[in-house]
Amino acid sequence: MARKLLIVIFIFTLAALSLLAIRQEQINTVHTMTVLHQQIARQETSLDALRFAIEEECSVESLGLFLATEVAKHE
Amino acid sequence: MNKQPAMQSRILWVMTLVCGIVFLALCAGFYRVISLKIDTPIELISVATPTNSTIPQIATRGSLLDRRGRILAGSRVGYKLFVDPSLVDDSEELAFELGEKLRLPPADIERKILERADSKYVVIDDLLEQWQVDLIRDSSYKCVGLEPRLVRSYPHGNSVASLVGLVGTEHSGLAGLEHSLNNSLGGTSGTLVRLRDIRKQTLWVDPKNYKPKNNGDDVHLTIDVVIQEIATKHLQAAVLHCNAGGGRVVVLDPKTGDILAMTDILNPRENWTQEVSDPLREIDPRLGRNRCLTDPYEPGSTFKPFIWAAATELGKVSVNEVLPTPSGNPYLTSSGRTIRDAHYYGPSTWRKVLIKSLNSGMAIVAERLTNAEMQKAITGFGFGSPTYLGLAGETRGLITSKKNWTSYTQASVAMGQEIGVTAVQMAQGFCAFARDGSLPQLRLIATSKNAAPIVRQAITPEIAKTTRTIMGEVMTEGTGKNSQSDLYTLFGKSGTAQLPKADGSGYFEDRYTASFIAGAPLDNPTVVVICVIDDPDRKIAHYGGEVAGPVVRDIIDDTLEYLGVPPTKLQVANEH
Repeated sequence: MARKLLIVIFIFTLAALSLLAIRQEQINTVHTMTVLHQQIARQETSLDALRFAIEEECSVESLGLFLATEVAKHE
Repeated sequence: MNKQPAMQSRILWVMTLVCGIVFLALCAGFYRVISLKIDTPIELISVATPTNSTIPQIATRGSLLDRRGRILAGSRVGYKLFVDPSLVDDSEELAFELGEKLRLPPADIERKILERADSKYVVIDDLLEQWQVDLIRDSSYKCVGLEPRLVRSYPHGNSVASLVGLVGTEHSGLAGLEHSLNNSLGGTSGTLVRLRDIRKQTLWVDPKNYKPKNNGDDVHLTIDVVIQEIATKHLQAAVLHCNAGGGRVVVLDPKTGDILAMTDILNPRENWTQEVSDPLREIDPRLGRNRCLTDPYEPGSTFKPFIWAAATELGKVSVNEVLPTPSGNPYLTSSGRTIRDAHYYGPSTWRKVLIKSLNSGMAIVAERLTNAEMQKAITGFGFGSPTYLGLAGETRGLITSKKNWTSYTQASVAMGQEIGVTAVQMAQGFCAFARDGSLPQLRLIATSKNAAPIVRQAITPEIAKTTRTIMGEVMTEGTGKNSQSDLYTLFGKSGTAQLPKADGSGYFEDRYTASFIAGAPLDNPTVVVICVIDDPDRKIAHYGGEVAGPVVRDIIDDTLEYLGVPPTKLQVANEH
């Protein structure tokens, strides 16, 4: 009887420990996902900033000004 | 033999002990969790941080793009820098460090912190640059934070300002297309609620509490930034050259009804009465009204082709019929009204009436039309109705009511007087000559690459072609000579209308609205351009063919070159 009880306790202990390990792994995964999510959001922000910088540099006004400066330099 | 049971008994005892210890530890842990939940000690409560943290998922507003995908207006997430003064130990030191790192004046930072020392939120900078954001993220200040916010950028400056409009602090459209397209452009922000530990590490995200953001839709316009710049550049130069009160230009593709450019300039002058004004534009150019749609003007002789075509189609006159236009003195209508011409050519054909822009010829034929026929002709070309471009404030123009329509009105309207039209209405009506006599539905939003639906058939294809051909002669023999292009064969018409007085007491004797409308190339029209110059200085120049004509010609030349349309005149020369 004692032996059976011990085996049950042992199995339950192992199961509880495994569940704890799984839970921890889950928490770690969620944390990593959140960090990645934030990194993606930051990269998107940086990309947007670059997109606008490129658009401004390539605007007709900027290009015209650049060309005028270059022409003046060469003259 | 007795050793084995002793061994088994020993193992059993050790296992019992280990399991017992583990079980007790689990029970103790369980007890501790329960006791902390039920009766949390005060010292732990004071250091405990909120376990739930809500991260806003900021939705970006959709972009306004030109027909080639260039960004006219777009949103991105920027960051504000704020400080929590309650966590600041030494404001002077913090201000110095932040100032040095972010290249901001330390004195300003310290002043802002000290001014609101008892608050928990002091904005130091409204919008940081990316390198400043990266520096703050890499630092470990507890009292300094970054707050995301949306930033609306207009990379192409003010050339499309009044068309695009602007957004307010809540990022909703206040004027222009930003206002008209607010429903499509606006997004819905979301939230992400996360359970976190004391080290602020995420423990869990409950899917039920996650509300994803929904970014606004991008909208493609029919506007082309390069053509817009071309139009703005030439119009600006002309307005300044003739010291005019302002100017308007509309460029459109007659085949599809796409508006390629729409620009509106004001030039405030000192010591001039009845100046065109736009108080909102003085606050912000993006708040200004778009006068191409909102302000009607008297078109003058640019209106003659419409009446000319309608009268010809109705069979009231034939193209080569000789009319009794006067040789030297003004023409007297049957009601006794005096009609003056700029030059007197004697009896002239109906064709010559349009080429030389003879008021007398138009008045003679106007008397052959009934009032109803004239009114139907006008509305048939779209005058008196809005073009439904989708912009706020569009006027339908001004047409004398049927009740007040007299023989005087009949002659006036035939010469482009006593009627108010917008530049966009004129451009739409003129498309009938550039096409097969049909009016396209004008578009500002590029919904598809197919041609826009036809509003109505204003005149027959034959009459449209005849009118177009004769307007080609206007450019070589008539009032459009000064606006002839060296590259493309144009067809067009000039107009010089006296400026009406604001108090309704008649017209100024020496102030005008000069305009010119043209299309090109003659054989296969690809572009239609109208230019209206408001009140040019008479001492410099004031005729439509002189002031607005060259603007239209230059815009057509540059636009067609940009669109890759081969020059028709060089082609003809090469063929010979």
